[in-house]
Amino acid sequence: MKKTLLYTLVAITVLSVIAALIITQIVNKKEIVPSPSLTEEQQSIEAEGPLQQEGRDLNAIEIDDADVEEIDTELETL
Amino acid sequence: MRKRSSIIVALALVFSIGLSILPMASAQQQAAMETEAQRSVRQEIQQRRINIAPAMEERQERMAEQLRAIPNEARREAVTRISASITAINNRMVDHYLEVVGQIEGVFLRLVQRLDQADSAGTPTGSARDFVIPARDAITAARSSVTAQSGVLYNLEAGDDGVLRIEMQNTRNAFKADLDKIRDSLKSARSAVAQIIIEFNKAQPK
Repeated sequence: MKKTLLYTLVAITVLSVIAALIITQIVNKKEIVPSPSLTEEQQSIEAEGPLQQEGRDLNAIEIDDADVEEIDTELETL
Repeated sequence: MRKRSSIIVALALVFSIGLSILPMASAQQQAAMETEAQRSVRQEIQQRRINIAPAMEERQERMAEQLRAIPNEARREAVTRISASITAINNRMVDHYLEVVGQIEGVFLRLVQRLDQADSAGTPTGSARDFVIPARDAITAARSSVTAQSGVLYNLEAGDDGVLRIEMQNTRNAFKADLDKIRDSLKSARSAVAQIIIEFNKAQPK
């Protein structure tokens, strides 16, 4: 009975280690599919090499354009 | 024997929980690093918003006074909504752009670490280091422009009914131009950071 409990715990520990490793892989290597519309600069920083992940992360940063459409709509009513 | 089993059970549980949260701790550590660099700016932005609140209220009261002279109710309401929209969009974009600065800085800090590791490992880095200071300066400049934007008050004078639309249009254009400048400074910061990677890649043997 105690042995069964011990084996179960060992199994849980091993599975936890595997799960932790898988999660680490997912967190560190989240795949970003390069868009074909990447500029030359964007493509060059995603080139294969030691800093490929940093290049992808940099390209993935979205700098939104300010949307002032709601102001323009109001302006039309003036 | 039972006591020993209990200790083994407890140790196994602690060990497995510890391993499970390891990746989360790593992600949190990275976030904390970004937050540390941004914390003072975030506080400053909050303070600026508090500081301009009385002046903003005063302007709104003055505008409400001026609006009484405009007979058309729909026009009066439109001006009020434009004023509210400018404030709301400004707050939203300042928050977004500050977040972007943090993201760019996060990649930048990782790159600096990678350059240190490359130096230790004897990996060639070319002239990548020469672009570290310009990148840091570009990030600082972008952050400053975001901070400054948080304290800007736009002049919404609901003066003469005849030129109301032109006045509002001018304010809208000035506001949009200010936000575009910040967006451009962020793009410059991102390009400056990208240059580190480009130079590093150039130095790698093909």
